[in-house]
Amino acid sequence: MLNLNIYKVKVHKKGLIVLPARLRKKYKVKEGSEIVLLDDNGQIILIPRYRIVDLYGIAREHAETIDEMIKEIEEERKNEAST
Amino acid sequence: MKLVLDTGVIMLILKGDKKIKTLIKDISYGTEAYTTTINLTELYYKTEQKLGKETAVTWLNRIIHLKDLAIVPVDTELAIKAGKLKAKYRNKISLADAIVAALAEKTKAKLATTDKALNNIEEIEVLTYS
Repeated sequence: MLNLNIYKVKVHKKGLIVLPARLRKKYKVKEGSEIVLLDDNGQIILIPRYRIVDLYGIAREHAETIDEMIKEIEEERKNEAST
Repeated sequence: MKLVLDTGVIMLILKGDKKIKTLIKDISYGTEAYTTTINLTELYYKTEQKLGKETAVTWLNRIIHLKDLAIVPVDTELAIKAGKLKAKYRNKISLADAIVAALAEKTKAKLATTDKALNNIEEIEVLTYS
């Protein structure tokens, strides 16, 4: 099942909406931040635009798996190179 | 300075690995960062294999919209440059290695990688994080 938190917001003049404070905090969205909107067949997806430094450690809980992923990609490249 | 980020290095960023703290700092202070669409392919398939589709889509969406990472598609010029490297280094480097190295050569950037095979390529300067 999808793990979704649902927020209901009203649309104001000229289509303005207010992002709930909890989401602004969670996704580090401040005044002046850029957000990408995806028109995805009946739903609008909002993706905050980050800088590389903001991604540092966002997947810390998967550290061991990421090490495995790096190793596997390297091995796969090596195998492909030698065939 | 310019940097081309290989797949493993992007993964180290997500992991929050201490080894790449200086690299992150350099990028925050204005070093231009690039990667190729092939690296996105690797990042996507390996993440989906290991952590599922939802995680893969979330990570990719965040990466492709980064303000300070230019994602370069493989056009004919890059394809041919990569082909030349692959011809020269044959079974020492893979296609992905050749493409990412070709971008580093073309943009005169250092290549940041976790893949030691790339040290074989004398046309570029390689920073290895392993």
